Amino acid sequence: MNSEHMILGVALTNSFGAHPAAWRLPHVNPEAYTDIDVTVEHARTAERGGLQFVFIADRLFLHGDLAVSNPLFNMDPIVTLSAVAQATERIGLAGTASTSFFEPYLLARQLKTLDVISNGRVGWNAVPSFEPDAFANFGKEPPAREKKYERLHEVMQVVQALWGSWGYEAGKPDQQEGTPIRHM
Amino acid sequence: MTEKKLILGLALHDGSGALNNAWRAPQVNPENYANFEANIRYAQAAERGKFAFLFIPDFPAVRGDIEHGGVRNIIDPMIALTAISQATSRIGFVATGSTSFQEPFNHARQFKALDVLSHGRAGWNAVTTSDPAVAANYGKPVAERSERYQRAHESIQIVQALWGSWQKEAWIKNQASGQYIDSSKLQPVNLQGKYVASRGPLAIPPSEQGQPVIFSSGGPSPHLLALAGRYASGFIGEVWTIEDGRAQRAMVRRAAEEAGRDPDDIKFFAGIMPTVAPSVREGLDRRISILGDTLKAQVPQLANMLGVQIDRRRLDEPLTTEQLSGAYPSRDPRSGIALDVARQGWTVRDILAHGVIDYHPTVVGPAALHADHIQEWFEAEAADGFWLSPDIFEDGVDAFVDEVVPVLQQRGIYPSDYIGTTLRENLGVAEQYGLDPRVVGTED
Repeated sequence: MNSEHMILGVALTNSFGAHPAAWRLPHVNPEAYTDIDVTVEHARTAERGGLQFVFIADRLFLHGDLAVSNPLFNMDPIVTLSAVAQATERIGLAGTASTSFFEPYLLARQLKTLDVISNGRVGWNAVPSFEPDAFANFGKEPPAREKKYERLHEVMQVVQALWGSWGYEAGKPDQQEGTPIRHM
Repeated sequence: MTEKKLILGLALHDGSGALNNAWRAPQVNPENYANFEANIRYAQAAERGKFAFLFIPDFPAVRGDIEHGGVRNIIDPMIALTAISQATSRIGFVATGSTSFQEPFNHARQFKALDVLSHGRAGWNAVTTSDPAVAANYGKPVAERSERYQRAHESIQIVQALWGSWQKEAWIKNQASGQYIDSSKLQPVNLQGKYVASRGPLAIPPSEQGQPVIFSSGGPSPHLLALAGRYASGFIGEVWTIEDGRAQRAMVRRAAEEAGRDPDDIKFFAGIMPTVAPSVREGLDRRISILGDTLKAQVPQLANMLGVQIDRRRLDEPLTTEQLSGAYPSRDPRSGIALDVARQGWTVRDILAHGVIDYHPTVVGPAALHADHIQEWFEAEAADGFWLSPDIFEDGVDAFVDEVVPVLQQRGIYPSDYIGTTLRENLGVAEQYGLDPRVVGTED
């Protein structure tokens, strides 16, 4: 109880800021959307401030009017967080990934790899897509409203089962014995 | 000198090396599979050697021999290469990604994001999946070949169209006027195939090389050649002899020509598994110390390849004159090499330690031998370049870069520095943004 602290995270989603005209400010790099060094710098600043995590939201379609405002979302959350992981040590890395269009094996592999190479700092905001514009990018129709979460439940269970499939008891590789892992 | 130069790439997998038992070598940290710092060091060594690219083969399933053989696969291609991109500045990245179980929109987005944040260094080895163990990880059966390739064609075309959907002049980003992009130059692609589809657009601008470079890999079946001929700028080959290399390179080039492209727009890479050592004897001993008992297990295969009986207990004796006179190469393409090595009088153990049953031609010994092999193949037009699978990454990459690369440079067949900053420039392949109009028939 006495060790309870507030937890802070920062949304790095588009590298510009929450205001749709943030990109126009004189001290803002209008190319921040594609410049990973900008995102990395923001993450390091957050880490310096002791924030618990950075967060990258996501949508799988073109959102907003790019004629007058910067993109609201990131080029790719998982790829971006992989780069940020290399430049930070303690801060958590949380990203949104839709369960609607990735095979669970691919999601499980990418997220767990990122977790392993960042030494255990990854979080996943698992969401179902529901927008017709997102489904159109995959040549598909969105599910009925009452079935919005149906695939998400399956994907979550398959992903978590895959995450646990290399058991803690599989051991460490032993060069002398020549047995890197044990079958369970 | 404006003559064309050799191109080198380095295969990366679990951080140990190409030799069986590589993870058990004393200089290898067996936890490299999950500890990525080692792979970053190997990538930096390859960059010091002016390698054009890192190649990530991929087999996304656990193989049967994991208990002793180790994982032999990278933990995840995209995550790994993105991490490496942050610690390198010139070397390119060719990651394998199967079109069979991934949506084109996801492939397009992740590869172009990597391409942009690495400043034009990404490539995609687009493959189809025919292995039931891999398909099972996606909960699906392996599709018929024609369906797999139809989906691959559709996927690559959709991916390339999405890549081109943010046109080159679209990004205005005028802070004073407030115009961020020219919307007329960021338009949907509206592509509908039999198996995959996408509306788009993909909101990622061009990288310094425009878009990622496409590679193909494998044996030259008609299906694969049709795919490579249309889209690929690099072909990762598996060939054991100069004759094989010449024939396959010619097939790949012809396939590109038949698709309406310039044959020089596709580069053919042969594999090589080098062991660099001060002498051949020391190289063989290095390999024997790591391979251990796995060599003995290869004796029956060697006997089959040469059509002779070989006694497993006489591992440290050469083949007898009688055995040699009765030997003939089997249909296995490696048999001729094995017979040549046997005729040099090496013991059975040493013949096997030459890597005659490995996946690619193996050279064992001092730098000049490696340079000879590479130069001979290159000048015979059996390859435009090579992809290396070193015996042990930990010291094998450094040995090749510090000893073999300078010899290749002295011989004038390998560049002394990077030609450019992008993968496309360093491969010497043509500009492309979006679909290739020569291939999809939208030219004129």
